[in-house]
Amino acid sequence: MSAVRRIDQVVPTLASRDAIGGHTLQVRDLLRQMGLRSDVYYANASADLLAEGRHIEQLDDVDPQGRWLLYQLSIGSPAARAFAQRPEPKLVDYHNITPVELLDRWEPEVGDELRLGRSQMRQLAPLTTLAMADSAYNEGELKCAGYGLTAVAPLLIDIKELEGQADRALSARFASERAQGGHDLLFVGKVAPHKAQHDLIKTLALYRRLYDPLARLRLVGGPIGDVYPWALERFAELLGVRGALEISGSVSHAQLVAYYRAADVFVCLSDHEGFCVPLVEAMVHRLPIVAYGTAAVPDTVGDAGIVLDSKEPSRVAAAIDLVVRDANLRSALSHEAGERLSCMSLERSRERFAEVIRSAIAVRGAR
Amino acid sequence: MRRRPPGDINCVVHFDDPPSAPVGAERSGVNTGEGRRALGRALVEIDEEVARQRASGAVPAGFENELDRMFAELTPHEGVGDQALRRGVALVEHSAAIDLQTPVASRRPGGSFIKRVVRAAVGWYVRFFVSQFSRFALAVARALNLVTEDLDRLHQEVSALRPSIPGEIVVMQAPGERWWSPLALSALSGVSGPVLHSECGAGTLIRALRVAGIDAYGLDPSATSAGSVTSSGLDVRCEMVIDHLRSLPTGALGGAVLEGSVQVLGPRGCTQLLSLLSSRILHKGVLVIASLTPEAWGRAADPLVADLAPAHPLHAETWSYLLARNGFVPIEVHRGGTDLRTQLQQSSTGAPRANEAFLEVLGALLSGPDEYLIIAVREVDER
Repeated sequence: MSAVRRIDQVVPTLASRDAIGGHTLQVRDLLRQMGLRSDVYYANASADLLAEGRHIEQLDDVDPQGRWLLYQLSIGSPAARAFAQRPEPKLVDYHNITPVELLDRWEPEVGDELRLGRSQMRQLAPLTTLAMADSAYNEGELKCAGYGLTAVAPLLIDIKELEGQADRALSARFASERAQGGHDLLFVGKVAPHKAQHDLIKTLALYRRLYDPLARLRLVGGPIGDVYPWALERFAELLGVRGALEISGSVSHAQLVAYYRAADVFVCLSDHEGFCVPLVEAMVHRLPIVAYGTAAVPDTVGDAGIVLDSKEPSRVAAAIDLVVRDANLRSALSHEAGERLSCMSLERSRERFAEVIRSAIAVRGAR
Repeated sequence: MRRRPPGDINCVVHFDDPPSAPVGAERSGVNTGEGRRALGRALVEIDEEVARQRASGAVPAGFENELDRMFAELTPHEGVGDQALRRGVALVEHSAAIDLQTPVASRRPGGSFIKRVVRAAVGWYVRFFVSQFSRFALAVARALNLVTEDLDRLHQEVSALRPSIPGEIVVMQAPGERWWSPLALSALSGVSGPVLHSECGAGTLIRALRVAGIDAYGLDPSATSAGSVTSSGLDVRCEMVIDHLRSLPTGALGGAVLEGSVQVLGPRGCTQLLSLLSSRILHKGVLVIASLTPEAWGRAADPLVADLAPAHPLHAETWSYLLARNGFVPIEVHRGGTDLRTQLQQSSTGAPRANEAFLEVLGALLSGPDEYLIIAVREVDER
């Protein structure tokens, strides 16, 4: 490791309350604790994190001798171009890029960014010493894109930060709604077509028809564009469940905790997830999970939730019904969630991540 | 599956093994093996519950398909013909209503007050532009509505002028077991992911697949047929295969069996179908296509049907070529069904040698078995 003095990260966007933003800062801290110098370079940053890094135009300010670069890859960005042109040895940390066809017809501009991301992913393959992925599923995509040396390195999430105090006013509202009867279904994630909230609305309609006429569905998360949220509201109206559907938009951490605590089941029917941090949040709150097993979802959930191989509304509704009325099953899922979280603890994840970084340096040294 | 009143989630525990535990037993020493067993039992119970609901009629045939169709009409560039246009018009109408009440909520102290002041101060200015823009948007919506109405009228006129073509192009489906069912069953055993049987008729193959432990479901264009099979507990939806594939996410299928109208798809339909299958079927998934030979089609079809039909069955070689171009490697082609040569040979026993030679030539012209089955594996993973 003697030749390597610093590993700087390049990230398209450094944003607060964002899984990749949080991971990037955790990685920086880990690298510094490993005795390396490390800074973050971004193309964009949210206002509160501007001081946590520098703009990519400043990449030239540091001597490339003894420096490595690590790129956080999740979407198309000018940051990838800047990264590719650098002379330093390169690492890539891949968090998945949503398949274009899932978003293209709804938000063509986002589709273009995803298309660019896939193209940049392939272009970076021959330039990269080692590529990391935060799930085995994502590692498979790296291999398909032509990356030679790959490894699974966990997303660094401080699970303790996912807990906290619930917003009191919101909790009081949820308690009053609950007093009127009915179970509460929850999904947290961007309101976007690939997260398939429309399938959750289908499930809500059928679940109310077959099992619980007073059930509610809460969708937490900011929207991508205007068209899909509009279609969701219209769809709920057509199915007669608009009154049982809450689309909250983006919420504060305390509000998010209130949503988790008030829910009976976390239901995820996404068509694509590269990791899905909200599944981990549901485990933290010991909320039973019913999920459609696509992409990295089975990797993230493990045995801590019911993973279905189909998202037919009747099947998902039956799974929700089983979970809410079977105490034994909930108990088993809760126990498995604890086990799963212990595997994902920040300490263990940091150890594994550091190990991957050391092996990358060793591989490069041996060449 | 027992029912419980809403809100009462603690009282019903029904696993026989292990003994039931109260809700408060979370983190109370359930070991990982037990957790996995509980999950396994839960999945079985969910399967049984879904089959029960379908058999009871609580989930009518086509209900879930209807949900998909309703959402497809709200999806940009989705829907058939004028549905997409109607959706576009609805969206324009929705967007034409501009909300002047700018949100003033703020997380910062005093932020809300400042925003209210700004809103009041520039309100007259914003209203001036918004009123003009709204007028423009409403005019666009009105123009689009006129276009839609005009198109409706044109559609009706064209439909009235269209000559009637016999509806029954070819007998698509026999209800019972087919000669190729065991071959399909063997090819599909071991696939991971659900298997779709398009135009599944009485559901015989689906039942056999399910007995073999495969998560199989079917499609049938006839609501009556789909409904009667669904009432026996099988998952059969009243839907056409291309529409259904469009509604599935990438990699949703472990395999598919296609027969029936797939035989008479035109070139555009074939291209669409194969393109959808190549993204919906998982890597190493299996595709089975059963078809009449073109020769058998020519013999069987009514002359009027044969002449007016927009397409006819393809040769097995053509399917193999098209499959290969779409990431499928055809691995087996089987021929079967009625073989007129055999019938001729049987009826010619004892005939003079000249007759035998004549029948040989005639048999070659009749081209042997009238059906074929192609089994292909999806080898290229483009996801």
